[in-house]
Amino acid sequence: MKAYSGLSLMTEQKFDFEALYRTHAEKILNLAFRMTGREDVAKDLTQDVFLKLYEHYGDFRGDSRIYTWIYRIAVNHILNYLKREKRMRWFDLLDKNVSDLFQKKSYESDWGLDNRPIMPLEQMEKSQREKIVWRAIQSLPLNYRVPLLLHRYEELSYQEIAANLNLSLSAVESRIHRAKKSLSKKLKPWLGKI
Amino acid sequence: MRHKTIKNLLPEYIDNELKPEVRKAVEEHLRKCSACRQYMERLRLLLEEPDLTFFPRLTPDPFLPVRIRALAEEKNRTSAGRASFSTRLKPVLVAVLCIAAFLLGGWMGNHLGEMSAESSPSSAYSGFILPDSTTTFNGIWVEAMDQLVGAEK
Repeated sequence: MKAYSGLSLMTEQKFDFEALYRTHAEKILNLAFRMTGREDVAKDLTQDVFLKLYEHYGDFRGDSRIYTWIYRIAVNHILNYLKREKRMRWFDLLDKNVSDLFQKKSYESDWGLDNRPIMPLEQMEKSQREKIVWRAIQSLPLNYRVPLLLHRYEELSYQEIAANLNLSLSAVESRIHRAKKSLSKKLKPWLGKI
Repeated sequence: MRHKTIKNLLPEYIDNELKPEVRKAVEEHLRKCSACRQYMERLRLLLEEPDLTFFPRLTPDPFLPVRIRALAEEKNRTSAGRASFSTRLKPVLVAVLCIAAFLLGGWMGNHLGEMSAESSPSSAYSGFILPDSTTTFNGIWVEAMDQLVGAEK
């Protein structure tokens, strides 16, 4: 892999970049969409990731597959966005009046998690069930949510998640396990009474 | 085992993470209890059977590379502008520092010279030599050397 740097190599970089974009953009865009659930945000994040790649293409050392390198950059960029978004949500809360906060129900009610099920789970369509699960996943803390999203929707193995998030294998196992445990509590209304 | 205990163990049961004896006990309970069985089936349905078609497949913007190139080049121009400003500033800074060092050196030499002249009049040339219109460099140099030789003796 050639090392590109500086303005003089822009022309050479351009051709590789076009091919790079054609090959990987769809995967990165859909990864961002599944992680954030918002099309506009996914498009912005894809632009950021490819701008980063354009500027730092020379940093690729070639000791892994190019897709692995790109994927790792994308996952970390999306993770940083989700962290920023979480902070911004707190600032939004600070902006609201205290009475507004009391009038509104919990955060989970915004996601419709405390709604009583209108029909048994078995009779629902698969996509309806998925919507319920996805909403529940979105209400999980970030350190549980991201590994679970990567495992569930990206179908990454625990090892791949560990490599992408720079975590140990046992940390990934424990986070996904806790995420599922927490998810099963959030999904109680759809599971029936024992 | 109680229903509540079984309910708490179900995520691990589905993930096949229970010890064999606990797993056996859970299975025994599930065989007898239809409510727990239904709960476990529903949990499995939600946790283990994702619908990957739930998200519509997005298509990337074909013109994004053009915009990215423009953005990167604009960023490069901005940083290049900043670099040329600092490059222009560097010689000016060096010149200012040299002048400051020269003036400081002159002031210190003069000041120390006065101090040593006050303490011992015979060693007037041991400090900084400030030429005036009546002295030449050669004359000062000879006198200074004489002074040094005299001091060594």
